Amino acid sequence: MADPRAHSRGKLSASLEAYTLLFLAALVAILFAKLPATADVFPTAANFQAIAGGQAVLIVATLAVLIPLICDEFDLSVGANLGLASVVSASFMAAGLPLVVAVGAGLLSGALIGVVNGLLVTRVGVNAVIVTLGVSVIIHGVVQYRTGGKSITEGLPASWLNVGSESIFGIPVILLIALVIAGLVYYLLTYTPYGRQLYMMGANRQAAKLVGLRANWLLFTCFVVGGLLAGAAGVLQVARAGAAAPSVGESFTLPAFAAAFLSAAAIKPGRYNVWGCVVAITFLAVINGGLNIAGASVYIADFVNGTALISGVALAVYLRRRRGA
Amino acid sequence: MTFRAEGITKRFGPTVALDGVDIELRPGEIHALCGGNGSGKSTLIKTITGVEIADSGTFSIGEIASAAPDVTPARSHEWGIRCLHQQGSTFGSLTVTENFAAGVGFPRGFGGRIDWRAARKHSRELLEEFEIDASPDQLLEELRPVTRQMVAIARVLQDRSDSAGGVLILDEPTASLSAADVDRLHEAVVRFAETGTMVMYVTHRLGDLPGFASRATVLRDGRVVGELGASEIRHDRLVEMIVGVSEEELLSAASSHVVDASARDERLVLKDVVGGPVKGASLSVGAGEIVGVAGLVGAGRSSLLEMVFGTQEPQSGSVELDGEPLTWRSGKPHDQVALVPENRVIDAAFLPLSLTENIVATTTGRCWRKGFLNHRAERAEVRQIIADSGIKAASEEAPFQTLSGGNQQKAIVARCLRGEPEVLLLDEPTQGVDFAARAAIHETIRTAASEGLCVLVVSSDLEELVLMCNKVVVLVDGVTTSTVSGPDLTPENLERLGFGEVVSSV
Repeated sequence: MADPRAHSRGKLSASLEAYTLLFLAALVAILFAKLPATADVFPTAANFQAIAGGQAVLIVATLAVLIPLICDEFDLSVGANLGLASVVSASFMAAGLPLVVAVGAGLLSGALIGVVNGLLVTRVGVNAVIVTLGVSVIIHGVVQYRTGGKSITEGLPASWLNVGSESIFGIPVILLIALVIAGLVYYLLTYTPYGRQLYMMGANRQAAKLVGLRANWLLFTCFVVGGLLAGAAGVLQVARAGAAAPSVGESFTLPAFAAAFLSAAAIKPGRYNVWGCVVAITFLAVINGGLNIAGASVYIADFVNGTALISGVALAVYLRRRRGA
Repeated sequence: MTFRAEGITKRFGPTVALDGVDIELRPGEIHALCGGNGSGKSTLIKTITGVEIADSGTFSIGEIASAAPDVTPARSHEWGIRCLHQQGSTFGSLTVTENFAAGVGFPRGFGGRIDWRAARKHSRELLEEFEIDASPDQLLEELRPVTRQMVAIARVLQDRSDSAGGVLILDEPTASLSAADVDRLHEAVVRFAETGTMVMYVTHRLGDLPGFASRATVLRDGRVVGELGASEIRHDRLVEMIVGVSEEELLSAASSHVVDASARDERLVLKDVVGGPVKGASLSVGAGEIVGVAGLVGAGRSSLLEMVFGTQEPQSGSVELDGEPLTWRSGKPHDQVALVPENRVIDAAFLPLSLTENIVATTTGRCWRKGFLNHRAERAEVRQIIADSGIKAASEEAPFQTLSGGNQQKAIVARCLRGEPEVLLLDEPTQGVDFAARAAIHETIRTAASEGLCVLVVSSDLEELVLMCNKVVVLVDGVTTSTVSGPDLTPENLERLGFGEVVSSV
């Protein structure tokens, strides 16, 4: 405490810790840029746009996982919810309704699933893992029933599809939208009392109740906000894929959890945070994108994401313990 | 055979936790280890038990010597060193027999099944050997706290090769015990010592030591300040060595702020409150008054506070502030009542969050300006609070779990006061907190009371009540039997009243 050098050394190691993952991502990117197998394609603008554009939906899906996770709750229905929202908004678009209505319907369906999750957890008192797992299976069934397992591809408005393919100054529009949403969530978590209260709920729920937080209300809202974000991810997915596939959501759940957990290892070590999520997604995307170009089989991505999920959790546990020592 | 630690040194980064500590335990002696929070007591125990690796020094027991850095938990165990840690880890919902087995495993029968008959026999033998008043099939939670503590001690001692010799380390074994139970535990400890066990006894309750400990070592800032023989162990002497300031100075600084207790409007009024162990409690607290609640463990002190705070609903009777009932609205406590709970870690602390976030927890909205939390203004306010309350931390952004217990407690009191409540409830506010931090917390509360706050404080530490309170209400078996103030307010009187004795007013 008294030794100023010790303090600055602590700060230095803390900032090293904060940017390690970002540094690793850069390192991997340089590696792929130099590696003969990938040097032709990897360091091109087209590839950057492909990789960056491809991560936009995942960023928003990860934020949907992040909000309940900060409250120490798991929302396993994010993927299914995303799929539902993309089918709902795409079918509204295909039916010729105005774009605003279709987007609004997608967001609303996401938020409604969040309401259902939140009510079951807070009112009925069922464990959130069970609730969201059950809800996601039910959503899957409903979507299959409504679509007959077929993707919605016809009649989608070009104006929305362009959002998924166009770029401004070389940066995909859809990525910009995702980053704006990330900025809003960052504001919510860092610059509003509500965000503080979510972190307090996650740190010690019993104490949160005793200091006067409305614990049940916060718990309920974290699922609704998470659901709304999952809805937004679903709507963006329509623009990105140019279609709404009934089971598209499932592929998002695991990487979203991996990135949300890894977020505690970057930017603000020891705490789940928005820009940590973005860094974690960048890291995973660079690895997966590079391997993809190098001709690695598709299942390699599964290895990467699974490993990232486990090591993300392990790192978060480790950092938390070390900060406590 | 003696146990000796010589020149034990342990650093955590730049902080020196132990700086050449020497201590010698002799058979048949109860050796008290005293010191404030952060003085190195726990670290010393951890190096002896091999949980933390010392940087240098030597340990020796009888003829066997070992470099301190080589000590492992297994080796320490082999030497016959046994430690009962502060939060005695007994399992309330398991039986005595199961609790004994938790340390060493169950005796096994055919095919690996648990041999319950042998297990019960073993636990009966232990209960007899340690003179514990319990049966093997009783659940731990049915036992008195002192009996639970005895079971915990018997458990750590059960697998020693011979009953004599060896080291028994007790870390704050009386933290949750009433005065009568402390005596019973002490009798048992004296018995162990008489069989030749070397006892190392760590406590904040310095008043327990005279006449009980045969020797005392005092640590401050990781160094041995001095060693006292049995006849030199006195409360004031120990405090002086621990704090480095004489007790009189600390007390006189504190008592000069006590507000005159006469003629006040009663604001918080409890009438015939019944609920849980409370069977009829009435009291009143005026503006600026500090009222204590004394009584034995189980007399209903904490339940009484919970009913004022609102976490427990009274079955009958009324709790009113300025004539209005204090009830929870929409699932949250009344804005005007703040509680410093007994169990800081479970009920109050947000350990992974920063000191700032912990202090502003109830008042997060205070720095909300134009749609943004103003982090800079918030930090500036918190820095002021840290300075005012004398909280020691690396910075206002330090994770709460890196603070010592005393500093965490100061922060939680500061948090409650920042909400500007009308009523402050304190449940064992300085339990497990060192003397200097205790004085600082008392000071903070007194200052707040002098500005008109109503304070209701529950404490097992009778000296604390006498020191802080304008008057003290005594609870016996859930009923408020008497109110003591003025010259009658002495620890001795409170002790006797707590046991249901009648004190004749002089």
